[in-house]
Amino acid sequence: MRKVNELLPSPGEANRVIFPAIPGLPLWLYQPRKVRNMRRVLVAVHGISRDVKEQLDCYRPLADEMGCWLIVPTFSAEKFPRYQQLCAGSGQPRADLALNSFLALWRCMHGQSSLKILLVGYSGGAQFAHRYALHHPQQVAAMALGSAGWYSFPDDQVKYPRGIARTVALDRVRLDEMLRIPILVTVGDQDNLRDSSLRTSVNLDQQQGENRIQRAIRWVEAIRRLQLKKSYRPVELKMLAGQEHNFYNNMQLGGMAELVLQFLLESERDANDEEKNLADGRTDSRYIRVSGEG
Amino acid sequence: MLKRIAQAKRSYITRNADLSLATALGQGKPRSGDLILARVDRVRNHTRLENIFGRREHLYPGDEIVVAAADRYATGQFHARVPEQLGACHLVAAGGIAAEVIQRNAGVKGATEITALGLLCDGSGNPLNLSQFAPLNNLQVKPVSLQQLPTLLVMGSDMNSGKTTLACAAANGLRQAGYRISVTKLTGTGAGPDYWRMLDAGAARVVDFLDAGYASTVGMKPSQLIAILRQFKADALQQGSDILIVEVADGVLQPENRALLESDGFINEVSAALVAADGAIAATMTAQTVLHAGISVLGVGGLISRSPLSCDEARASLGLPILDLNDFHRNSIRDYILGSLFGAEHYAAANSG
Repeated sequence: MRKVNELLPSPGEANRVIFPAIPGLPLWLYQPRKVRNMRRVLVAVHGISRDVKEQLDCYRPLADEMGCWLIVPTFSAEKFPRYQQLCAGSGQPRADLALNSFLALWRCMHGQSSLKILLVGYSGGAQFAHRYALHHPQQVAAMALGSAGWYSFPDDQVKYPRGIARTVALDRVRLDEMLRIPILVTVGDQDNLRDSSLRTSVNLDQQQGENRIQRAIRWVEAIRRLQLKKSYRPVELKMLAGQEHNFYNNMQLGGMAELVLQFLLESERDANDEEKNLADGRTDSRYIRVSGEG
Repeated sequence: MLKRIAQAKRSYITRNADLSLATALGQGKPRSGDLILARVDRVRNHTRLENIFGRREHLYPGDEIVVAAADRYATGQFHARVPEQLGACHLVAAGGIAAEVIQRNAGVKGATEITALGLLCDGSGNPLNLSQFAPLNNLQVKPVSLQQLPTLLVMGSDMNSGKTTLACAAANGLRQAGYRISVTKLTGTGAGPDYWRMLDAGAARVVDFLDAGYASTVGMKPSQLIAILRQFKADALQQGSDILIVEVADGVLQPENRALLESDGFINEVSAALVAADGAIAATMTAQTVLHAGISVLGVGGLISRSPLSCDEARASLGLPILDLNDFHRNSIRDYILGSLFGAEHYAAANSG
């Protein structure tokens, strides 16, 4: 057996690793100074600039705080040209399956069969993150989406990726399971430019709004409506004061790093409480199903 | 002598052998692959012997059969080794393997009892051995890149996990997409059902280790198995095949399979794998083992696909596609597999018209 464990960095360090079984997906792996939670890994997904170093630098402190490994995959333009939508079309490499292959390998390497990911993404990375969660909700413990350009709305009458009507290239979405995932959405309150990096079209603008702020608000409303119907934890939306579309500034100056950290810590606390309640045979929860529904 | 051999029931494993070369029965210690004339003494687990045409002929005490000495490793049946000497031994596979049983699965009857009467020998008194009848040994073997011949491995969690069914479904689906497929069995013990089934699935060519001169691959080193795989590749190219499917018998924990997965030489011969498993834990462990070895896993199938709950469990633990037999007839799955094997760019170019 190849000693893939030897590819891993020491505590407090990061390595760029290419696993032989997943040659198309280089990953940056950061081991926190002190690992406290092996049941989670923090997966940070870059935007279309594919600036993985920026992701690595900004999320390292969070990984240290959380005590879990940080994984920053590189979805190259050559191999995964439309990773934001998981795949560029039938027969094209699947960004979601590449990540899942890594997770399967990671579970095996560390003996963590119940490992789930804390998934964070910015811009194109946030597009990837929520679409990944729609298709693979069982892999995700919590998700923070930063300033996605547009979204897949929970509308099965609209074709994916604007909606969730099935596409030939991907499996069906698992909306109900995705709605159960704790979700945080952030966007700068000045992120209203319709520049070349924002996809625009008449249909998209009509459905989602004209800029990232409107689109985030509408998607959150649509998701929250469904979550509340089912008494699931509702998605949170946080506006970043004075912030435009800039990952580094959002994280360092706009308070996004702190918001994401607090959200992930709270999600973990809730998950632990829920597990403890289940173990104790209690069913009480912060979000109680309303009697008579469903 | 020839008349006696002609009257004997000839087993599948002799399908490449020229029995007209046998002029005498010799004595001596059998070696793996030696052809043996044996007598059926007591019919037990294997009640029939598969002939070279695939028909399973019923056995009766007193029947004479032409078989080959070889080891067998089958978790669901027998663990057996080449007989130490002629005389009393067992028929341990319907394909025609004579061996001495070391262990058997408690779920099967004792092995059919036979007596090895003698080694089939040529005019010089030399025992005939399957290694003499290996059509693949006539091929010139050159390095074949994975771009020239994408190679899809089918690896299973264990015996009877659905590997052959999965390999055949893949072969059939890809053939229907217009590709010429060679389907091969790299390891195991000579037996016809898989061979015929692969042909039935529409494989343009089927070869197995028997065509490389081996009755069984039990105990073989990775370098020997890689040499056979390279013969398969040379054959596939000669036959004009577009894709090679390679089934490996037994499960990932079987000693030779473990050694194969630890061999860089083998890993480098494979484009990607499909995993067959009979349940979620088996699927998870097998896929993880294959990934850990350095081989991409395209999906999971086999017996697990019969159980929606097991599929859900495996999907949650692996996140990889769970494929049932019909999936290989869906364009999206074919595109996914072909794109993975050929590389998306080449596949798209080839299909752009």
